[in-house]
This record gives sequence, structure tokens and C-alpha cells, in this order.
Amino acid sequence: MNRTSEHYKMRKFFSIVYKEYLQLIRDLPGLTILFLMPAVMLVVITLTQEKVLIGRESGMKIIIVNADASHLGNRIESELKANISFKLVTYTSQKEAEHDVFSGKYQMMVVIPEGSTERLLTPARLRIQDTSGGKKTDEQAGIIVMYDPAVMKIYKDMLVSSLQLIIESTAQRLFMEKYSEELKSDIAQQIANYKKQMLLIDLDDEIPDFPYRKQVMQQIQSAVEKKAEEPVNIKFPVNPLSYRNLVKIEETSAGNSSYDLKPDIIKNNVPAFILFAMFFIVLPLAGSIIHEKQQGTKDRVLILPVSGFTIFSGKILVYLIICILQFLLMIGIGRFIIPLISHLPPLTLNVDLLALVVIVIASGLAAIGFGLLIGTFSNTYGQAAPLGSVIVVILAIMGGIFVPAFMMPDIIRKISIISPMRWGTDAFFSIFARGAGVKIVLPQLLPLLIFFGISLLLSANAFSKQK
Amino acid sequence: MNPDPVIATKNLKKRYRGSEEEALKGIDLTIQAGDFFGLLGPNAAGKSTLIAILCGIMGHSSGEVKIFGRTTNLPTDWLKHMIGFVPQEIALYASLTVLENILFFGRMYGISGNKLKEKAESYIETFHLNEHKNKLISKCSGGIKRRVNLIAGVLHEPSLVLLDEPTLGVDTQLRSMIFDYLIMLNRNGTTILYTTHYMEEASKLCNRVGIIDHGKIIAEGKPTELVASSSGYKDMGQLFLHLTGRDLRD
Repeated sequence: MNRTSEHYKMRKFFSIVYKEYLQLIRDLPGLTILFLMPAVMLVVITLTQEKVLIGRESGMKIIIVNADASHLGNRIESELKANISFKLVTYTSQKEAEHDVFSGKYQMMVVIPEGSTERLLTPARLRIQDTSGGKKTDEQAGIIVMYDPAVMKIYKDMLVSSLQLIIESTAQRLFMEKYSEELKSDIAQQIANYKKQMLLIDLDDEIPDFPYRKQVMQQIQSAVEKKAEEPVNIKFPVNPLSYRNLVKIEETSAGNSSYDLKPDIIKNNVPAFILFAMFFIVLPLAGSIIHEKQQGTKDRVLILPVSGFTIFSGKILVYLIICILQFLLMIGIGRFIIPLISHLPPLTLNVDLLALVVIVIASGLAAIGFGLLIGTFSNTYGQAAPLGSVIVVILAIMGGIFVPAFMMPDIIRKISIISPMRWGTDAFFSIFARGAGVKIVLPQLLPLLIFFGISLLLSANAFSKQK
Repeated sequence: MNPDPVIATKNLKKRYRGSEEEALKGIDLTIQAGDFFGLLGPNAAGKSTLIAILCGIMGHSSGEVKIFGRTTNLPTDWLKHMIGFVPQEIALYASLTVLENILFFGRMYGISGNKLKEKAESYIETFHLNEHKNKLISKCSGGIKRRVNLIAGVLHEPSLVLLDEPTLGVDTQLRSMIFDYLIMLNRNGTTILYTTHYMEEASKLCNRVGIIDHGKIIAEGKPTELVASSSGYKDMGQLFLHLTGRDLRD
């Protein structure tokens, strides 16, 4: 008896699934929203971000006035020329350059004053001076960077950090050359002074460390011994780089150290738009519930010998399959389409598959729960469609779909924790970029499932309730 | 034989949330097995509310309702199988075809396989829907929709059929077809509760009628007896106007 009853229940369940499937595949606008819209948005936004953030296509136009015409000036010029983010235009007159930047013809300019290379070798190191906003330039200051006030901060930072790197590396090279010369002459002098002394070779332990110190000292020792034909005590000149405050950048990251930790646009955008696509099922799902209410089929369904949970389960299964298809579509775009039409690398999929499957299902269920809530508690499609869309867009903004959460101001980032999309994107990002497993994404997985459970309970209860 | 009446209500009242006036003000109604009961009333008299409560779609505020001796507050699957409901609206899935709608509702009542196919084909034949069975409901005419709406409510062969104005907006030919079918259904032992505005329909079809107005049953009995007991009214139409007045309703 029980088995027969279960059998009937399953049959009814699959009939509901089939009915939902037929309704959905015949809803062309709904399918467009579910698949085409997020796919187009993923491609367009990713390509735009590639252009803006990497500048591969357009490049920022920069004037260079190289009055130094020595090591540093030439190095800066050649390095900036090689940088794909910039398009370099050479000017000889600083005044003309300034005019063209303030008139908006070019966005930024770099002036390398005469004698910059020499100044680099003096103890007061060359510095970069920001002369924006009409500040007076200090000719003794060194490199001058001037920019159009309309230029985004990201470009200024990019240029300044590039210049810092070039100056540091040029300084290092010049110091090494100078040091090498000093070393040579000083040692030669010492050899002459101590040539006749019979002393044991005793290399000073206090000698500041530098790369290949041991090998250099051994070579010097053997060369000196050979020439002097007697033991010599050698004093090494101090390495000038050892006391210079060179920039040291240290990158640390949490997570799986064997994993590729470099964040990139694809790893951020694909998960983001998976969530965005999933939550847009609010429109067809809420639409189907509201149509049932408006057409009277809900009343008819309520008197059918089938529970509200079975009716909702049929909907949930169909829409969950849709969520999985959306996920596969977005992954396919990230892995195959975007690399084909851009210079971005394909999305890597060497991830924890179990964690990925679990989060796809949990995110899909949370999106479905949201759709059920909106559909159940709205009276007309005219109410549900704008309400659903607006909430999805707000949740998407708060969830870091358009702007990654780490770039948001503190207050917004704190508020964004209430967005189920944030839970989903955080989990996906952990899986894709940090190689996280199920245990790591539990803090996101549980809220997603709880949100779904509460939504289902509220919706099924309200749907089945007598008027 | 079931000793209980098919429908029994006692002092049934319904007040909608936020409304000061009761939609039903103490309905006492008894319908026996095999009855073809016509519930007549002007617009907003309480017909659809009463039907919705009897089906279990709507809860009531006070009083008692029993269908086949059981309460409708939490209708069991058995009770749901015993009741067929044909709503006033076209309660069908617009993006499904005629046949898909019939098959879906059949499956929901536990009919499956060849039995379901045969039943569906038989109803399609009876209601002359062969040409239209693969049309989407959204593309069908009002008459076709009405027929499918009726089939969806009676396909599982319930013992009690509740019809809320099933002939609303249909032409004479289709109305006649629906009448013939309902008479046949009643002769085969199905109890029918039928709401309508049309007095001639009630006179023709029903062995008993009740006139409801402002949430109260104001007259009940056999149509012929009701007319005969009234002084000076020749038919149900005149009697109806006399009882409910000539004021326009919502």
C-alpha cells in the first residue's frame, strides 16, 4: 500500500516537473533572461574590464619629456614604451607638454629633468613629484608626473608604480656598476699595500652580505693569493646597496599554497555572473506562480490530491536544472569563448569538484527560494517583475557582482554580508581562486541552504493556505 | 449507500479579511446524493464564496461544513478525489496544449498509462476537440477553453461536481452540449452543484434550486414548487427578480 502510494506521489511529482519544463521551454522571453542576458553581460563586462584595467587595446596616452638623455631617462622611456598600458609620445618642451595635458589632449606626462641619472647616485635619492592640481614644480625634486585631473586614480597609480620600479632597478644597476669599479680599484690598492705582508687570509665576518658573497670572496682570495704569492688580509668596501632603503614588495596569500593564486578578471566575473544569472530566475519562476494565481490554476491545484511541497518540489527541480545549465554556460564562456575573443587566459578548472557541485546546488536553491518568495507574496506580475529585478540588482551590487567586494568601502562591505549573492560569489571565488574545499566554503554554504529552507517553508505554507 | 448528505452546511459564515460585511451570513444547506442543485443569485450574492468553501479552497469564519460527512478545513486526498471543481475562470495552463492540460490534471488524480490516454481521447471526442487537441490553450477560442476547463474538473469521475457558472460567455450550441453532458453525468449518479445567473438553465437542469442573495439562502426547493408557491409569478425568472429586487449589483 505504502509502496503504491509512494509510486503515485513520484508519478505526480514527475508530471509536475514535465509540466514546468513545457511551460519554461515555451517561455522565450524567460529563457532569454535566464541564458542570453547573463551570457552577453559576462562577455561584454569582462572584455570592457580587460580594456579598462589592463589597457590592452587603447593604452593611456602619456607624454614623455626626457631632458636627462642618460641612463635613467633612456631606461624610463624604453620601459614605458614597452608597457602595453601606455602609449608614449615624446616631447622636447615641457611647456608644450603641460599645455597639451591641461587641454585634455593627453592624460599624463612624465618629465625627466636634466641630470636625473647623476642625482640618482647621490645619497638624496631621486623622488617622484606629484604636480597635479596646479602645484608648482620643484626642479630639484627629480621626476615630474603631471596629469589631467579627470584621469582615474588607477592610471596615476599604475604610472607612478611603474616609474618607481624603473628608478629602483636603474639605481640598483648603476650602483652595482659603481660598486664593482670601486671594489676593483680598492682591492688593487690593498693588494699593493699588503703585498709584502705575510698574513693569514682572514675574510672579515662583518662584511655586509650580498648575493654570491661566498663565491666572490673565494675567487678574490684565490686571485690575491696567486698574485701576491703570500697570505693577504683583505678588507672589503661596504656594499652601498646594503644600507639603501630599496622597495621590497612582499606578497602573501591565504589558502592552498600549491594553487595558482593570481586573481584575474575571469575568476572574478564568471562566478559573479553565475550568481547573477541564477537569481534572475526570479522573473520566470515568480511569473509562473503569479500566473497560476491569476488564471485560477492555483485554486484548481489546491484541490488536487497533491501537497504544496510536491508542487513546489517539481518547480524546484526544473529550475535547479536551469541553474546548473546556466552554470555550465558561464563556465563554457569563461573557458572557451572569452579566451577566443580576448587576450585573457581561460578559466582554470582544476578545482575541488565536490565543493563546486555543492555550491552550485546551494546557490541555485537560494536563487529558487528567492523566486518562490517573490512569486508567492506578489499579487501581480506587474508587482513581481520590477520588485524582483530591483532586488536582484541591489543584491548583485552588494554581492560584488559588478564591483568586487574587496574594492567596496568598509560600511558597504559590511552591509553586503546580508546578500545571498555575496555568499555565493565568495564561495565560488574561494573555489576558483583559492582552491577551497567544502570545509572552507561551509560559512557560505550554510547560509545559502538556510535561506532556501526558510524561503521554501514560508512560500509553500502561504501558497497552500486557504483563502 | 452513504447515509450522510453529500453537502451539509450549518450556519456557515464567511467574512473576508478587512471587510466589515459578511459575505456569507449563516448558510444552512443540505444536498443529497444524486441531486442536481442549482445555486442562483445575482452578482456578489455569495455563490462563488460558497463554492470555494465547499471545495476547500477557502476557509470559513464560523459554522460547519461537511462534504460526504467530512470537514473541508483540511481536506484529505480521499475527499479531493471525490470532488470535481469547474471554476468560473479558465483555470488552465496557457502555455500547454489542450491535450497536455487534460493529461496533466488526469495524472494529478492518479490516472496514468493507457487508462489516461483512453479517457483523454474519449473526452476529446465527446467535446469535439480532436482538431484542437494540439493547440496551445493561449491560442484557443473561449468555447474550446470552456470545454477543456470542464473536462479538467470531471476527468477523474468524482462523485460530487461543483460548477461555478460553467456556461459563462458561451454560445447556444456549446451551452446545449454542456447541458447534455451534465444531465448524463447526473443520471449516472454524480451529485452536481451548479451556480448560474440564468434561470432557464436552472429550471431545465436542476431538480432543486436555492436562491442566494446578500450571503443568505432566501428560497430553496424544487423549481416548479417554488414558482407554484409564489403568487402571481409564472417562472423562475420573475420569482428571482421578485426575491432579489431590481437594484443593480457589483
